Amino acid sequence: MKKVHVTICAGTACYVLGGAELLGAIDSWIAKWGEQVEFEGTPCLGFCKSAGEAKAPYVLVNGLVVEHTTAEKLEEMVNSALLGTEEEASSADAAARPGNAITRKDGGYASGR
Amino acid sequence: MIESENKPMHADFFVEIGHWQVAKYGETSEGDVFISRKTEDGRIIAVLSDGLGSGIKAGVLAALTATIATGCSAARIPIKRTARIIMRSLPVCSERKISYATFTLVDIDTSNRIKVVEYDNPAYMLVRQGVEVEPLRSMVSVTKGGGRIAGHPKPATLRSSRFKAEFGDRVIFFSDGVTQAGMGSRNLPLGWGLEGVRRFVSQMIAENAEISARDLARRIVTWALLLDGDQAKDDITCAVVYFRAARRLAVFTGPPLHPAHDNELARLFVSSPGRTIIAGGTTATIIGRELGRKITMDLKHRDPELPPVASMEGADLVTEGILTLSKTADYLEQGAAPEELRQNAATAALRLMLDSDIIEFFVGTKINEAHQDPNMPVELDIRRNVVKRLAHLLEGKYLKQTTIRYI
Repeated sequence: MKKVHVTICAGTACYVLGGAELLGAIDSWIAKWGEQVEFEGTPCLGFCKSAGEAKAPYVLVNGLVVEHTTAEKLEEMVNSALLGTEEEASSADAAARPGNAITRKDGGYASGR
Repeated sequence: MIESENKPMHADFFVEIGHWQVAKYGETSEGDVFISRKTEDGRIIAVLSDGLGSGIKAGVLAALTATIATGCSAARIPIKRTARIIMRSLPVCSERKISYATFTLVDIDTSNRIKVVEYDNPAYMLVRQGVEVEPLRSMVSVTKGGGRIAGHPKPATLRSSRFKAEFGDRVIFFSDGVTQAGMGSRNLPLGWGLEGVRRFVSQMIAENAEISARDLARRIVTWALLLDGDQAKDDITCAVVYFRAARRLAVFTGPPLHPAHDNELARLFVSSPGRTIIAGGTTATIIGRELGRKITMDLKHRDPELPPVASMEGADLVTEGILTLSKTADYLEQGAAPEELRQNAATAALRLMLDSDIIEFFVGTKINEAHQDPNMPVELDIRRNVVKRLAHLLEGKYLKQTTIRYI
């Protein structure tokens, strides 16, 4: 089974603008999705410095950037990704789903600058 | 911090002062007071005073005594006169018709010469190379001025001693709550006693030759409390002065103003001789990227107020920046002990700072515009101000040596 990988930015701006709530909800999500979804924190994804109109908090769902993330939005993205995993949908399809996702070529950590 | 200019081989010779205290069971405030400060001419003065009785009334007597003794010693007022000033200043207890507070005063000059003046506290201990040595004491008799001391129980006899500290020396002093701990119990009918404390201190130092002043004071008080059945029968206070090799801590916070200096930041990080904290997500990302080191974050231990800690090879602690450092400064201001707080990134930083003597801040000055967003639900202080506040508290309240370098 392919897993959905969620990376939550724990930098200052993200944490203050809603990241704290996302981090606080992890236990309930683990209870809900079990081992299908893996959560990871990162000191800074770096998007707040160069995102223009986009807003913190930022989260990566399978490498796709989600901005202005709320718990509802994250659940929606993860559910889409879980569906996509089941259907083995391509990442291009995933990018077209709702949720203001921005595709990133490199996935993983941003440079921070 | 004492850096003896005429002893370059002891450039890192550091005077660490730590204390620990518990109030008498059932009292909301301590009747013992410990004060330490650094004078303008670089001397360090520490005073432990035990006020008559317990609670607020004792605390007032002890606070007055400790404050006057510290102030007079800082102003180089002779000890006889200092003692008279204290005697005349203390309010007389309405029940007992006496005014009384003991004290132990330790005055350390910049050449590590120590003067200790004791009044009615248990005798202090001097431990040199792990062995207790007996300092020569001279007696000084003081009356309130002229004849009989109205309100004071008897002419005061002070004990004065002077010596030059050597590397590794420890001066340990405490209130009688330590020596009388366990008194009346089957095992220790006369209490722990000076001999018992001596054996305990020897054992602690034998187990850990570099035990910090703060840790030794904490262990002595905790053991005394245990002997009292976890309900202190008196205020229990211990202070330790330790002449040790300086423990260094470098705190890296904030990205450099120019990205061209990112590699310089990483170079400073790897060349730091002591322990290191990286406080800032971007800062950690830059150092990790420059050194090719992975940063991992532990999501198992989350705190409702602060972002979780992360880890990276070579760093003793990796945290978020502004929120965590501001919280650490709050803890320092409150005089909080990290052991007694909910464990989070700021208590981890606090512990590292308290367990260090020389703290260097490397502060990147690039401002994150996202932090200036007026929609921020909390006001984020500017990094420079947070660091200045930390350095001010560490220097003034904890007698640490700090430097701030902007990048």
